[in-house]
Amino acid sequence: MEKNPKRGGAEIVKAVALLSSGIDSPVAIYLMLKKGLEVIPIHFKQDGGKYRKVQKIWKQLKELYPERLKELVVVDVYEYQAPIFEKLIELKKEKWICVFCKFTMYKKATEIARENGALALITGDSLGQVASQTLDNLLIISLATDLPILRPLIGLDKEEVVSIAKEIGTFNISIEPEEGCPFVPKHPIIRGSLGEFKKIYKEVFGTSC
Amino acid sequence: MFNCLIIRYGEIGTKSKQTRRWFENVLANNIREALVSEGIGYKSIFAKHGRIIVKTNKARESVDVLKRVFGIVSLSPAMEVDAELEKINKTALRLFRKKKRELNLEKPKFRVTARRITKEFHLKSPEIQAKVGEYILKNEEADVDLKNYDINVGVEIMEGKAYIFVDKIKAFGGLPIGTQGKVVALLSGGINSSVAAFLMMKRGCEIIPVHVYMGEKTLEKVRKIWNQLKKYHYGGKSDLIVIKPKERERILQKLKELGKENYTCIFCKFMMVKNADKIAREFGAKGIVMGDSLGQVASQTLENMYIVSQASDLPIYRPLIGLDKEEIIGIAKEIGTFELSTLPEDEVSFIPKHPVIKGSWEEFKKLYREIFGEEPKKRGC
Repeated sequence: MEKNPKRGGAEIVKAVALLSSGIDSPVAIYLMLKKGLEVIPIHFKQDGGKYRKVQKIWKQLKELYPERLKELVVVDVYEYQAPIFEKLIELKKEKWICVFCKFTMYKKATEIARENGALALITGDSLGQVASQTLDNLLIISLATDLPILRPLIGLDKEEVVSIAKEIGTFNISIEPEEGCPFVPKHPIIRGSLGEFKKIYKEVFGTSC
Repeated sequence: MFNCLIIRYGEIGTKSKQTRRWFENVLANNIREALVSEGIGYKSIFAKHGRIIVKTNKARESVDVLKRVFGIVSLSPAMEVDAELEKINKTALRLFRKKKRELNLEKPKFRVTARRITKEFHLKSPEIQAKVGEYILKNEEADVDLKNYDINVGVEIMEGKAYIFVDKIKAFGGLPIGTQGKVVALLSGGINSSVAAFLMMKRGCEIIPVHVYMGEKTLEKVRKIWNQLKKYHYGGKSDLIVIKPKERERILQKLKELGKENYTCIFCKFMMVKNADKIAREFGAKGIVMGDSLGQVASQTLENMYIVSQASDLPIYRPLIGLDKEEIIGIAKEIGTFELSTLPEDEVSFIPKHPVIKGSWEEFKKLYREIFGEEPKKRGC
């Protein structure tokens, strides 16, 4: 077992992380690698373009922390999440797609964490940048996991995140052109209510969340 | 010398029109509150073309206060005059001279940057720059240098008025307090929890500060820290809430009986979060802020964090989790909480010699049942 001198000789701890082709999640992972965690990155794959960007980002981070960054785990969105989104459209609840997308990502990530002995979930969540990243939505999404969620970007401005991304060489990869998300609704819900979420969840999955 | 203040903001600028207007309103309100509570007089505050203008004769004093209002990226004490070339020239020269004296330079290098925010003024921006530059050169010892300048003379023209300034003071950025809702922040009196609360404020959250009572000395210290943090919280309404946990004695007693004093710190934190959760629900807050970081203390492990996280269904925000100790101390010094955090505290008699480093949820559950007669619930929907 690897030893981390910072932890007084205790073995290194593992966390899973969500990794997209955007600017934020690579920076979040970098900051936690830097803090000494081993990170298992998970990518929810939509298309080849974004996937290739994620592979490049992974390589870039791997160069910085060859020991700590683990192999990329890929989950197929069309297999895992698209049926859920279709159901939401059928129920005329498509504005909830982004919340369900994140919620099911956290859920899957938690499973992967359990299988690999990881103890936390790292995300690039921040406040107020995208309409769907609000305290209300994060409250709902956070209920998908009992793991501690590490959000190292939550107190940073976009500008600060961008400057770290440039420093570590992921910025230029992240801003390469890519296809937009095909599932994102016209008006994603901004202040989701937990009560309504639970109701819709039951309709979609047939069980409580 | 100055009769107004130009305030620039960042991230707000990228929102939809409706959201932007709302953000501008919140920011303008926070600015108003900051000035009123510091007793600085002003004539008016208005948002125009992506900036906020504060008309005041106390521009200098306002800068010191408004630097602490989140959402603001930079500020310039400015002189508002009618948009006529002669007036612009004369004002620019006056401000240039003042700045030259301040810098104590014989022959400063300078540049002029002009922008027409609305386009009705007859000269284009480069022409304004040339004219103002010429006028200054004619009247003062100086050199033009667009890159390595000592003085930047700014001219912004909109709706028949010109705003001239020579200083651009950086502020914290972030988002206006109140735009992101409320969160409860646990304040211990230490360096970390104050910086964590500060960072969440900076991202637009109104903070409800909660302190779990340890003794009078610590409470006094936490009050001082909150009073300092309040200087960044204009627009927020809450005041310090102090909890005296009833169950503490019982927990300590029982853990001692069971010979499990090593779980004291985990129980203490678990109960703090539980209490914070209750207050959050009362006040409509949507998260709990903690100063957790990794690897500073042996007991700050993901295992222990896991147990503590189960105490609330609300998200726990840990803005320091990716920062190093030096970075945290750097922020604490910058915002004036560092000194206060080093003030004396009450001695806590019940800290165990060897706090558990990798707490087990199963073990914790067992102990919890022994103490409270019921199982703790895991977080979830």
